[in-house]
Order: sequence, then structure tokens, then C-alpha cells
Amino acid sequence: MMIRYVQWVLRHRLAVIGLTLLVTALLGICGARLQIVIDPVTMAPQAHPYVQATQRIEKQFGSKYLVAVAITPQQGDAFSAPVLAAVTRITRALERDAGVVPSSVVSLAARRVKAITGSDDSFEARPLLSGTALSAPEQAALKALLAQHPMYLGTTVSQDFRSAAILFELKERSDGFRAMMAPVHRIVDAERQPGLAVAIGGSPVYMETTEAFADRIFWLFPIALLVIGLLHYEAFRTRQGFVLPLVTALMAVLWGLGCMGLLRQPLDIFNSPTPILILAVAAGHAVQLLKRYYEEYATLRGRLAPEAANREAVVRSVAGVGRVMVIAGGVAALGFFSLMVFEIATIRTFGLFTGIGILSAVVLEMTFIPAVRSLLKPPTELPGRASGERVWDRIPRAIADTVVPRAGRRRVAAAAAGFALLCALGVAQVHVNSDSKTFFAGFLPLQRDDAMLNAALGGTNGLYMMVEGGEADALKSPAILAAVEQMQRYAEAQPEVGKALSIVDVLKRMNVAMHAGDPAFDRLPASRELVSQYLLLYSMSGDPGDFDATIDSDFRRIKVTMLLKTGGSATVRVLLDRLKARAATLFGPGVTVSFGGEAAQTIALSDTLIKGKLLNIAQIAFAIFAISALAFRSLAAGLIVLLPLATAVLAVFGAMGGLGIPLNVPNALISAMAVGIGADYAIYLLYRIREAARAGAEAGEAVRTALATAGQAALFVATAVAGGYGVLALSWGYNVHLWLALFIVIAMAVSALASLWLVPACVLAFRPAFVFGRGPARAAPWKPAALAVAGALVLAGAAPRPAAAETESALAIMQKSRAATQVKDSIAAATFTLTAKDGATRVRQTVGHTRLQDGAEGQMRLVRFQAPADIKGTAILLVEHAKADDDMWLYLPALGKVRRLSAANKKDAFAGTDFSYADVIGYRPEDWTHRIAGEETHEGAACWVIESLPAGDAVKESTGVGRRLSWIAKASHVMLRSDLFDATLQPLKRIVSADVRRVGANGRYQPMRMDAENLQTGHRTTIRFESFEADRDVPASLFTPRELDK
Amino acid sequence: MMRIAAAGLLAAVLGAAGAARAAEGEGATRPALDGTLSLRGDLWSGSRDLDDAGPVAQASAWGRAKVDLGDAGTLVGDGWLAARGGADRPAPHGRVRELYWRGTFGPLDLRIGRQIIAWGRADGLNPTDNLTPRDFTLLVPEDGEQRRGNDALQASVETGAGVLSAVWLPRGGSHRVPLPRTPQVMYDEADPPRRDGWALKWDLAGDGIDGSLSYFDGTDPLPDLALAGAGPDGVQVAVRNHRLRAFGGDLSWVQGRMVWRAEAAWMRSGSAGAADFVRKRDRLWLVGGGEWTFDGGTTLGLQALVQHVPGFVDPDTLATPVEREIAGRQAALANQTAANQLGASWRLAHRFRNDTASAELSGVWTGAPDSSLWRTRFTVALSDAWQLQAGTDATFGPAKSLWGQFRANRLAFVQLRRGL
Repeated sequence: MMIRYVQWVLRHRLAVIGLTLLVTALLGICGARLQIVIDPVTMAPQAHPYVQATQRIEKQFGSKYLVAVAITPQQGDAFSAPVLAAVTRITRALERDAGVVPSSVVSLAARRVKAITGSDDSFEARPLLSGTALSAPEQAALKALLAQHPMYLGTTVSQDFRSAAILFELKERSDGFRAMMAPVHRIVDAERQPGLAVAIGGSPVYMETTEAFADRIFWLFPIALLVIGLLHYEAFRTRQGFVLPLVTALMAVLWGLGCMGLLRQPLDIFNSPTPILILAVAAGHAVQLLKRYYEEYATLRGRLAPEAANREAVVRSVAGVGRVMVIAGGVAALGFFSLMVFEIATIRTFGLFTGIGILSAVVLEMTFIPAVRSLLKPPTELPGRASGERVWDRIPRAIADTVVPRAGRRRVAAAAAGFALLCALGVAQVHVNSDSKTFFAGFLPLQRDDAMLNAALGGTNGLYMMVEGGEADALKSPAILAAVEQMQRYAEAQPEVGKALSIVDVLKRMNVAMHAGDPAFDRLPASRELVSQYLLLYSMSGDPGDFDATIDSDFRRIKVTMLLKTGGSATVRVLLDRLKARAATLFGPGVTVSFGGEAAQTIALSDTLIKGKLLNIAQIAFAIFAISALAFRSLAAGLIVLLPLATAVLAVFGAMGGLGIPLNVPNALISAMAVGIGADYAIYLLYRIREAARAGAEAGEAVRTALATAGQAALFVATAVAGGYGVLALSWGYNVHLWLALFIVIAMAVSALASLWLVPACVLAFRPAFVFGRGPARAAPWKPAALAVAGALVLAGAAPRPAAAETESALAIMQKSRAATQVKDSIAAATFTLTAKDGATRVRQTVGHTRLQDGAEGQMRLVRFQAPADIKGTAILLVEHAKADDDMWLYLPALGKVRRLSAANKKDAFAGTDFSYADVIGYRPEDWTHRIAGEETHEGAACWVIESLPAGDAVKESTGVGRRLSWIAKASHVMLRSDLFDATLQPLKRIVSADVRRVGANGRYQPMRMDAENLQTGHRTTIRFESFEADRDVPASLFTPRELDK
Repeated sequence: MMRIAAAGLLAAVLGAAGAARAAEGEGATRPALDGTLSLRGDLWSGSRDLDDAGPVAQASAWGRAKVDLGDAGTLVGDGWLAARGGADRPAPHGRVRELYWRGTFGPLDLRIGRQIIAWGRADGLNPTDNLTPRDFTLLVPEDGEQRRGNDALQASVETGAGVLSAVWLPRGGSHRVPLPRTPQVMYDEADPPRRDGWALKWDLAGDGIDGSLSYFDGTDPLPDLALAGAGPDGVQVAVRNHRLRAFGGDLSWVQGRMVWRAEAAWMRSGSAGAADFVRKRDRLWLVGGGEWTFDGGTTLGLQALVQHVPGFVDPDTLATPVEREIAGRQAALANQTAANQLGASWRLAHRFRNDTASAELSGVWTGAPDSSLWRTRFTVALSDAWQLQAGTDATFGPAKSLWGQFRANRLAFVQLRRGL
């Protein structure tokens, strides 16, 4: 099947290449539209309570994306004129900007930030700043004012008055954080000037930097390409070895990216390494195929002309590796597709498109590469021939020396157990932390800014608490407001919280103001009515929208903003637990308290991550186990394939824990990557061991052969993949890339070495049946016979052939043989008995007419089925053409009309029997090259044994036969037996003729019984002619389509 | 009376089939009887009558017999008898699908009597196939078994430059189509008018290519729906067959492992123009595509469908709601829902176990509006005599679309056959 497929590809190679290039170009155009963005919605697990709470809070009060800007003069303090002028300009610009939640802007100059001061029996709200150039007394007055409004300390100015701050929230948008932050940078950067230090921080800053750093993939990718190419060149030392894997890899990347573009899926931080991943996997498959190609070519080039050897090597290499490549690629793709179960959309996208990329690589290796390789000049150089034994040879040999002896296997097992234990210790140290700050190295400016902002201000991480009452004005209740205040004070007492703000602070300030600034009234109003009156009074001088970010219009919900100095998920989780416990004691029934904001969402991400991670690992393991078990039809195979992968996953997590690297979203993908890539090694290796064992190699020898071939290729692949990923280490300061580089290098090294050691060790230790078979009874029954025949033929071929030389040529014998049974016309009744391997039989009765065409070569045949009932009335008309495709028509009674069918493929089974059309029609002697292979007796009749080989690929392809051995009776020239071998020269079927009778008036013969046995399936067909009348003047008019339905 | 005659003929056919089996054993020569009898037990998840009826159990006998009269020609008979279970259990019924005499006189082939004439080389969808009516409500797995046969006189002659066929149909036949059962909507299904019809076809078959040109003038077997009246009791819808004239051609062409098939017909319905919503409009219908045969018994057929309806007017432009509704249904039934329609059909079939089992997935999609039919069929010959078949039919699309109107006919079935 695979051989036929490859031959088909080679026959249509120009079309295949053209079509592939066209698809690549189209997908390339689609992929060109891609850009790297982070869509916040795709990152959050939407079903998580924190995410849902965050969305509810956002819906009511605005966004969660808090940004903090601090301006610090080199001389003076926050109240110097340049600082206040800059703050004012920035504030105004932000308040006008469409991407900013206007009510969220907090600064000395912000419209919603007002001083509340008392007058006779009322109070008024007025802006904090009277201008930007303040005199010393004015500055002192402002400081005093701020001291009376503690909620503005740590939010509008630092506690030491050195820095002025602007806090604001950005509206969420789906086109990424860079787009979100662009106007902010434009506004803030305009104020950067000598003498003023401007710091900017908050999670949007981290996310936009993440997007920017992820763009590095665009220059890392070509370097990775070069590194992989160079590693392959080092491995193969041939130009093909350098170029072709890269071509596959590049095209697979284009296909994968094209699909992403086609489906309008943007790249984000998790998808940005996808190109390199696809590149590495695709190159890995290409190397396996290339390695096999060189092996095949090395064995063929001495026996065939270079072009023929090249073509045959292409066919054999794809036939040999194609199936396992499809399986290995399928396993890898399924591993990535299994990420589809993640709740986080971006991870699903990653899994889907990486899987597509890998499948693309397999498709290309099965189509484009064989087509291209068959067009290339046959290689004049072969890898590694000239340079003697190299490290690539020594490593597999050293491993073989270790695992083949029994004692060595014990040492391998002990070492593997020790390694696993070591890794397990590391795994125990793994901690989850999805804080985006950890993505970056500490020396980067954004980390310095963040540290400064967190030290000077309340914090740059927003955590929100929403308190909800059941009805309008519910939260004017002094008791509830008091509870809110207590929550704020409790939160501020926590080390992680820099500031907690809410309407409570404003109400307290109003109360003080209403009582002539008496500090004794620095408490909440005592009644609902007072709260209402204060808010009414405020609205007379202030702006009704000032509180939009803290309370809703009917006082049903209050938002408390807590500024945290850390975004670490572990820390925030503990904090949240404490806050929730405290809230449970402070708020009574009828009041709902929920927590949200970006810090809380980080917890949601971590929760989902852990669950998804475990699910992911189990799922990939199961997929690999199931597919491998199916592919080898053995559960043991599934377990053996899993073993090196489990080791690799253990090593990755062991390193993660041991090195203190957090388990976060990007790192969570690593196990899938490691498994997806690493599964190939064990599968390729197992296939090769089995292939060698089935070829007759002893177990140890089979392992040595497999290690020297597929094992060596696995080393090439692992090196290339590790090299490709190693390039990510150049992404200085961006930990995500560094972690990926580190973990993939570990995963590749461990999975490759574990495959090379553990897979052969298991195979040798357990001798599984799927590799070595179930003993002699399982061996194909035809093999000894075929070997014997082959041996006899070799001997016969080597012996002198005086007999053949003295008598007829092989071609003449075959021509006479064809003529011996060729009657002018015939009418025959026959019974076809089909016998399955299990002995079940089916009987078909036919009446057939034949007639030689007038003035043309070839026969016309009309066959009508008489039984069984379900096919009775079916009729086939076949008109042979020597120089063109035959004509064939079929009449099916159920359809009620005659249909033309294709008759181009003579290897198709004739009416479901074990005879092909070619067997029925006969093989044109001129299409084959013949030689007399010997002389034998068959059933007492002296016979020539003629070996026939197809004269060209077209004959081999159309007949499906790569070699025939025919026993031709010397007396009658009737073919008494024919052994047919398929295109790979494996025994295909045997046809034996018996009961040969003279028929007609022209001295022709007809076997009245013919038996065909398919040696590959065990199915048999016997044709027995009940009657056979020749030369009866069958009219030519019978052989027309309109006769079929009669 | 007609029923009795039909049943009598059927009994004769079935008897002849049984006799043929017996005759084989007796070594009879001429007149030689030959035939088959297929006994079937089916279970269907529903009917094809758009009636949401529950599962239907059915037992049937299908027979085909041939009496070779030697020089006097051949008699051919084909028919079935069926008994149905289910919610509304109709009386056992049957049909003589074919009963004709065939004689060959040199190059002339003559057939007289009820016969099935199936034209068209495209796969499954045949614009030129207008001579034989079908019963689309019949519960049978194969489309071909829905054909009902038509009384006809057919003469075909081998001219040396192809086969020329002439057919005279004394009376046209009508498809039986499932009609939606809507409260207060009554259908007036009249027999086709007693109008004769005729057809000509010129067939060529040769090296790698077959083709034909044909003309048909007779009764359109696919009926049209028209508002016949409306009153307090509801709406009456006339179901009528009108005249059809169709110029057609078809082609099948082998290229290696591929067979290209194409078929086209220009069909003139006698529509009165833009304002005529009570009969089909003229149309040009083209079907064409390829059929690939792969190693291992797999066949893939893909066809494109193109239809152009000149002067098409959307029924939604009608002001009267009832007229609009009926015209919409008529347009869907006639598959004339847009001026230009595209579509596709596919068939993926695989034979295995030495042709004793097969699986097939086929379907049709038509655009404007989108609707589709999906079918699966699985057949396995349990032995030489017993055959098991199962399958599903599913249609999709809006109610006023070619396939969407038959959504209630989605079904699955299993059938056990015994061949004698």
C-alpha cells in the first residue's frame, strides 16, 4: 500500500510539487497577517469564580488593568512646579483618552480627586490643586490637606512626598496590551524631561513587554533555522542533509502559521514559540526519512544505475519509514491536540495549531519531499563514509554495548531508578506562580520601575473587593459601612497590601468636614440619612461622577480597591484566604462579598493550570499509550513507549523544582512539548528493532541495528531540537524563552537517551511478542517455501544454462504460453468458490463469453453472474486495448443502468476473487523481461520455470506485480503454476492450473480448474469450469454495453 | 380492479421466479425460466411520508423472472409484495414494476410493456432521467428500487454509428413525493393527464468515451403544487403533473483510474412566465464530476451541480400569504429556489472482504438556500443467501429548500435479505 502510494507520488511528482508549493504560498500569505498579541479574554479561565467576580466588578466599575505612574524630581519634592505641571498634563490627557476609564484616574490633578473641606454648616468638594506653580505656603497647605485626606497618600503622592503619582485603569481590548498601552506611553513619554524621573508600572506594562519580547521569535527563528541546519549538516555531512529537513520544517511552519492566519488566530506569548517547535519536530521527521534514504541508497547504488537507485531508495525509504512517521506524527499531534481540554483559550489554540504544524510536516514528508528528492541528482557522497567512525556512531554503539549484555541492563535499570528518584525530589519542590513579573529578569528597567512604585506607593497590583447588598441604598447602612471600613483596615494591616480605598474614606472625611475638622468625627456617619445628606451636599460642589469607580448609583454595591505590592499567586492566594475569612466574620446575611481584579485572576489561572496540567499529562500519556498499543497491537508496546517520555517529564519537573523555577502558564506547556516530540524516538526505535528481528536478526543484533540507524537518527533529531530551542537562550532577560530553552533541552536529552537505553533494555529483557513474534507457529507459512524457492533460483541462476540456450528463448516460451490458451471465442459456465482464511466459502456462478477483437489485439469479455441471488444479473463487459486503457462497463440490476468504470488498474480483484484483472486477461509477454530460471516438474509435467520482471514501473504499478515465476509445461506451453510477488517482491499469490483440456478447433488448451491463493491474506479462489466451448462464432454484437441488461 | 390485476400479475411474476428455481433442477430447456426471489425483513426508524410515524417493520418479497421464448423473444417481469407494521398498518400491497416482452431482430431491439427506462450517465442525479416515475415514499435501501416502471414501447437500433432509441409512452407517470402534512392543508393528487409522450436518444459507446444526446416530450414525472382553493375548512393544494420537454446530453470518459461523468438538460416546462408560480420554470441543469477508483476497493465520486432558472422570481414577492406559502413549497419541491444554484454531490464507497461487504457515504448539497442530504449504507453478505444491510438518511436545510423540506424523513434502517 505504502509502496503504491509512493510510486503514485513519484509518477505525479511535478503535480505534487506544484500543488504543495501553491498551498504553501497561499498559507504563507495567510500566515503573513499574524502578529503577536495577548487577548486578555483568551487567557482567563472563564468559569473560575475569581474570573467571574472580576467580570462582574468590571461591568459595574470599570477595568481591572491598573497602571501606576510616578514622577520624581531630582531636586525638591512632588509639589515642585515641573512635577505638578507634568502631573496635570498627564492627568488631563488620560481623562480624555478613550482607552482609560475616566472615573478611575487618581492624581493630585484628577477631576474626581477632591479635597473635602468644611464651611459653616456644610462642606465643599474642590480640586486639590489650585495651580501648578505653588508658593511655599501653598505647598504647605496642600501637604496639610493631604494629611487630612489619608486616602490620597500613597495614591496621589508618595508617603514621603518625593513622588507624585497617577493611578488609572485601562479598558480591556482584544488586540493586545501594546495597543492598550500605546496612548499611555505617548502621553507619559511627552513629559519625560531632564530632572524628572518617570516610572511606570502595573500588570499592563508587564503584559505589553511580554508581547514585545515574544516578537523576538521573528529574529530567533532564522537563527534556529540555521542552527538546526548546521546540526543536520554535521550529522549527515551532505547538502541534502542540510537543505531538505529545513525545507520541510520551513514549509510546515508556514502551513501551521498559515492555518493560524486563516482562522484569524493571533500569536500570543504561548503561541509565539510554535514556529520553532514545529520547525524542530518537522526536521526530526525529515531526518528519520533522510537517514533511511541514505541507508537504502547505499545498498542500492552498487546494483542499480544511480538514477534508478535514487528513485528506488526514495520509494523504499518512504515505504519503510512512512507508516511509523505517520504514527509518530499522529502521536505528537494528538499530544498537542490534547491541550484542547484546557479551559484557557490561548492554550487550546496553541495545542491545535502545533498539532496542525506537525501533521503538516508529516504530509510534506510524505508528498513534497519524496517528489523533490526523486528529481534531485543522485547523491555522490554518502554521510559519514569518508570520515570514519564519528561521535554519532560511537554513542549508539556504546549504548548497545551497555544494554545488550544482561549485566549491563541491570546497571541501566539501577541508573534509571536513581535518576527517577533524584527527579522526584525536585518535583516535590515545584511551586505554582503565574505572576507575570517572574517572566522577566530583575535587571530590566520595568522591574526597577515596579520596585520603585511599590516602595513609594500603595502598590501596582490591583485587588478588588465588591460588597453587594440586596436592595437599593442597602449599603448606606452604617453597620455595613463600618464592616467595609474594618475590612479596609484589616487589609492594610497585611504586609502585602499597601493601600485599601473605598467610599468609606470619603464619607469619613465628609463627617469631619461637617464638624469643622474635628478629629473626633473622623468616623462614619451614624445613620443612613446622614450618608444620603452628605452625598447630596457633595454633589452640590463636586461632580456626581466622582464616585463612579467606588459605588454604584443606587448604593447597592461598593468597590474596595486594594493596592498590593506583589502579584505572586502563592502570596495573593494566602492573602485572599485571610481576607475571605475576615469578611465572613464582618458581613452578615444579605451581603455578598466577592474578590476580583488581576491579582485574583492570577490565582484563577494558577488553579486552572494545576488541574489542567495534571489532566494534560494523563491525557497525553493515555493518547500515546493507546496509539502506540494500537500501532503495534500490543499493550506492552504502549508501556514501553511511555517509559522514556515519563522519564523526560519527570526530569523536566525535577529541574523545575530543583532550580526554583515557577510552574506557570508557559512552563505548563513544556510537558506536552516534551512528550509530543519525544514520543517519536521510542516509536521509531521499536519499529526498527521489529523490522530487524523480522528480517531474521538475533535479538541483540536487532537492537544494535536499530540503535545504529533509528537510534542514531533520534540522536540527530534530539540534537537538532535541543539546538533549535537552545536558540531561545539568546532571548536575554526574558525568562519565558530561557525556561523553554532549558526544559526542552532537558526533555530532548533525557527522552532521547532514555529511549536509546530503556527501550532496547525492555525489549531485550521482556522479549515482547509484538517484536519477536509468538514463535515459529506465527511465522508466515510461505516464508520457508519462498526462501527455498529463492535459494533454488539463486543456485539455478548461478548454474550454467545450456538447456535454455539450446531450446527456446524465455520470451518465446511466454508468447507461446499466452497463445496456447487464446481461443477465437468461447462460451463458458464457471463456478467461483471463494474460501476465506477461516474456511468460510462463497460460491459465485457465471456465464462468460469471450471473443478476440476483429483486426485488433485483445479480447472482449462478457461475464454475467448467475448466483448468488444478491448479485444475480450483474454483468461486466471488458474490452481490452493493447495500447490504451481497457474499456469496462458494469450493469447492476439494483441500479437499473449500465455504468462505465475505470479499468486502468489491472491489479484490482476481479469480482472480489483472488484473481486480478491482469490474471484473468493475461500478462502481455512484451511488457516483461523474462529469463529461464530453471526446469522442474509440476504434477508430473516437465516445465520451464520462467522468471519475469516488469519492463518498467508502469507495468509494475498497473499490475501490482514486481516479479513472476511461471511453470510452463514443455508439452503444451500451458502455464501450470504461477507465483507472483508484489511490488516489494514479497510473495503475493500462487495460481495453479489443473485439468488442462484441449478446446476448440485450433489446438488450444483450457485449464478447467484454476486455484489462486493470496499468500498475504490466506484467502483462496477456485474457478471450476463446468463447460467451456471454444470457436462457436460468438457474435461481436454481444460485446456492447446495451447487451448488459438483457 | 386495477389492484387485482396488479396482484395477479405480481403473483405470476413471483411464481415464475419460483418456477425458474425449480426448472433449473429439472434441466428444462425452452421456454426457459429464470429468476430470483428476494425475501426481506426490514426495520425502519420512520417512514418516508413526512408523517413522524414511529418505527416501521416491513416484510417484502421482490421477484424478477425472465422467460426465454427462444426466437419468439423474452418475457420479463419484476415486482414486489410488501406488508408493513407500524402505527398505521396499511394492507399488504404490491407493484408490478416491469412486465414486458423483448424481441431482437438483427440490429433492432424491441421492448413492449411496462418497463423501467433509466437514462443518464451522471452519478445519482440525472437531468435526462424523466421517463420512469419513482415512489419516493417507498421504504427501500436503494434508489433504483423506488422506480415504478412505465408502460412504453421502446425500439433501439444499432446503426453502426451508435444506438438510436425511440420510446413512446402512452401515458405519463408521476413520482410519488412525500408532501408535508400541515393542518388544514389538503392535497388534491390527481392521476397524471392522459397525455402520451415520446423520447429519442442517440447513444455512442467506444474507446474510452461514451455519450448520448436525447430529447423527451411528455409528462413531467415530478408534480407541481398549486393553490386550488381556500375556504373555512382549509386550503386545498393541487398536485399536478405538467408537460415537460427536455433536450439532454451526457458523457462518461475514462482517463486512467478516473471516470469523468457529465450530464446536462435544458428543460422546458411550459411556464407562463414570471408570474407563473403554479408550475416549474424552464431550467438548465448541469451535473458533472469525476469518480476516482483507488487500490483496495475504494471509490470516490465528486460532482458539481449547476442550475440556471431564467426568469426566476422569488415566491416571497407574492402578496397573499397562502399563495406565497404554496409557491414557496412548490419552488422547494422543484428545486427552483434561486435563479442560479450551485451544488455538489459526493460518494465515498469501499468494498472489502472480497466484495462481500461494502460501506458507502454519499450526499448532495444544493445552495441558495443551503440544504443537503447525507446517506450511509453498510452491506454485508452473511452468506451466499443472506445479506444484511443498514443505513441512514439525513437531510438538512430550511423548510423551503430542496432537502430541508424532507427533514422529517430522517431515518435509519436495517434490513435482512434472503436470496432464493
